[in-house]
Amino acid sequence: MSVIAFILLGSVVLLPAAALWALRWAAAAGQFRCPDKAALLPFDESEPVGIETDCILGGNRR
Amino acid sequence: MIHQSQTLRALLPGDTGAEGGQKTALAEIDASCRVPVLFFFISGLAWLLAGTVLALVASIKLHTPGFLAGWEWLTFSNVRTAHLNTVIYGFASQISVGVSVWLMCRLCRIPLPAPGLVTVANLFYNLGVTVGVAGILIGDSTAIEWLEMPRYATPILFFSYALIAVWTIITFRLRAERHLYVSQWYLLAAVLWFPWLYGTAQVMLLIEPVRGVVQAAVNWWFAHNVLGLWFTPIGLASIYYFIPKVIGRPIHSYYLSVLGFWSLALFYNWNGMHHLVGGPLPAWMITISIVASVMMLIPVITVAINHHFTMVGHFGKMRHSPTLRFIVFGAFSYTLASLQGVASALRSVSEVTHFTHHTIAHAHLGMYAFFTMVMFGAMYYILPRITQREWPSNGLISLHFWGVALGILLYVVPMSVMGFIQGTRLNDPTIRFLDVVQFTLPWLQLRTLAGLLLAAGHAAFVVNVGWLLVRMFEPYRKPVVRILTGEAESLAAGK
Amino acid sequence: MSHSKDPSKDTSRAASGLDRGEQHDVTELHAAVLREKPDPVEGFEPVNLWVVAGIAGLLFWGGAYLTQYSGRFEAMEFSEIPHGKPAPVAAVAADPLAAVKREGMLTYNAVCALCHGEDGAGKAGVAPPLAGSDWVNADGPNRLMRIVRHGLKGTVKVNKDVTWNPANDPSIVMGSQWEAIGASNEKLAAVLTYIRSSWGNTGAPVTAPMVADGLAPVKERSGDDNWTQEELLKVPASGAGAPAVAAGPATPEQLKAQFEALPADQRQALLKELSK
Repeated sequence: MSVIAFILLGSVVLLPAAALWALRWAAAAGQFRCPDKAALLPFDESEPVGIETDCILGGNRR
Repeated sequence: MIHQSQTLRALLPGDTGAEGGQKTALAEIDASCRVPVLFFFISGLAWLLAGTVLALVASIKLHTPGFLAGWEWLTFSNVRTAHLNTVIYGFASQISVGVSVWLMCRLCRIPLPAPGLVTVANLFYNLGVTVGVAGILIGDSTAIEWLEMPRYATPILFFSYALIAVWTIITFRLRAERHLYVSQWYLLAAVLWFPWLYGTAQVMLLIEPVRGVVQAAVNWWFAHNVLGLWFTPIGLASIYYFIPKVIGRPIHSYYLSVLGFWSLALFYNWNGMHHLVGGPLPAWMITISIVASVMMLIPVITVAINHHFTMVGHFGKMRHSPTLRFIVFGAFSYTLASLQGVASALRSVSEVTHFTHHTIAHAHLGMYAFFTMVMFGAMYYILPRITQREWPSNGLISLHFWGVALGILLYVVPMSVMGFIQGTRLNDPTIRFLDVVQFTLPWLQLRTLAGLLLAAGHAAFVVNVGWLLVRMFEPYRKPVVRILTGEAESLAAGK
Repeated sequence: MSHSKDPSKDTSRAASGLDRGEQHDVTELHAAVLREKPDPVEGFEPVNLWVVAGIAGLLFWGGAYLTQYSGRFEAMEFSEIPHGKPAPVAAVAADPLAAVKREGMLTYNAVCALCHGEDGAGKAGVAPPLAGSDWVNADGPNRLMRIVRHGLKGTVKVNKDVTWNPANDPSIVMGSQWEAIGASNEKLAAVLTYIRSSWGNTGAPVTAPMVADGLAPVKERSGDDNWTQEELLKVPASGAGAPAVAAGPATPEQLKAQFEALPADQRQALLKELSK
């Protein structure tokens, strides 16, 4: 079998398998369970929701 | 000022309050990213400058063929190819890696593990791009679009990609925050998709080439999916992080973001062969690609709705935050580029626009107006945090934004229109080919003007970054321009 | 926090943003991390039903398009025309020769125009004009087809008064264009028809049988053996034992052969004409 055949087989079998595995893992690990929590992940106690963090320009324009 | 002082107090030695702990945690993560991320940013920007110069030379040559005609290694085909490879592999990919490394650490909530791995990957990466671009200029190009780098350069690049992928998986395994944010989905997928794309295309086109028309199919699949499965996910990951972070408001709907990610993963990979409409491929292959292109409306519209409704009521904040300006510009361009892409995948449109400057305008709308702008925005956020210095010049930030924003508008809009007219004229047998070429000339000159605006913006940004780096090595002193402290703080507090 | 006073009461300290014992650099170092203000928390929107409906509509369109244009997923099906629709027939233009002229123009622009110009004006010192040329507008195409078939060298007089290549420079020569135009009587006829009907020229159209008959006497001549003006002028411009299609009564066999020698679109046009 040529290298090509290996690659094609690998792509056809392994990739969808990997995608399905990732989907299953995500569901099993509860990644889809509490989206409200997930949406808050960029924030923490020191930079909570409601805090603007990149206010650079226009300060002298007031 | 009260607020600021209270927060500052938390930073004092001996304070173990939860807030102070968190702040230092963020600062610690940022500091741990400093060396590897700076390596990627600095070398990426150096390649941006090189790519800008090459782009200008190529653009001028299109309307003034005699320009630099005496230099055989600067023929149009060499320069144009070198431009593509420097900006894609040298600039965009390196900034992507820098941004995704920082985002991964922030979202996994751990200081950067194995910094040596990232730094070594960066060194190899730059070696690979240097060898590859030099190879193109001396005439060793493989003549396969997006894979022009000669064979002796690609193993170095592949090794570097592999290191990045390994590092990302290590970081993911070590993460302190178990729950994944949508940005992490995109980043993880992108770092695994890209070596797979690159490896598959290398083997099927260069190492053991497949036959005839199959090569065309593989080539377009690769070229299109580098955009869709490498740059797009990293761009979207950045947008999903920075918009909420800057305006301090969570993403509008997390459900939509999950839907957007999985539909992108499902549909994008089928794209690419819609560029071969009318070509000698079995009809079903082209048709499937067209359908998949149109199905891309699903992730695009969900992402657009999500970003728009997150931003609603906060657009005014773009005045104060360079990050937000660039990111929102990029997010908007993403929607536009995708809609244009969907339209030009349709057979009736493709027949007119495909072999014209319309396609080139579309590529720049996607790679520049969307992706590069988002990366600029991300760098405006990341650089002050990892260097722990403020941006030295307000004016340079404005110059950068307006230079590149107007530049890319002046590039994309006229070129799209011109490409469409060019296509209708090319398809009309009663119009002589030379007349069509003549017709494009003034538009191409306009493009050089747009390129100069972009170059001015890039120069402003690079000067600002260089200034920032000089400050990083100087003993700290008060910034000449006080842009972040006092005044900005009270603005943010709504006073 | 006993070591620091209440900052709201200490205006001088508040103004400088400093606490006691704190260096300037700590303030400035972390300023980027410190920009913040409180704000109410947002809700989490469920997916809008219109979005779901839109996605369903898109998927439906995708299925329909795939069914129509997939070529039944045959490996050898290249047609990008929807199933069940006949292949589009080229519209019969008012000019029955439009298709031939168009084909001739494509060939002319790709091959001949390099020297003779897309406007047929020729190029000084390289090639004589075709527009308004007595050679082109001659009664018949016999000389023209020979020039294209075997090339032309030496001095040429155009329109009786303009002499081309008067010095008889052997490097100025038109080689045989037979291979370049596709080595077929149909192509040659199309090119000549185009040339004879463009840029104000008034020559009659040329058909493939006319070319076949006209070239029959010189079938054996090599493509490297270019004609000269003197040789060509001995050949009658028209006729030469080569009756044109309408030149007189023909046997049914001859007519059939002539009909079959026509390009497909011309045949269709003719059939349409006859069925009226």
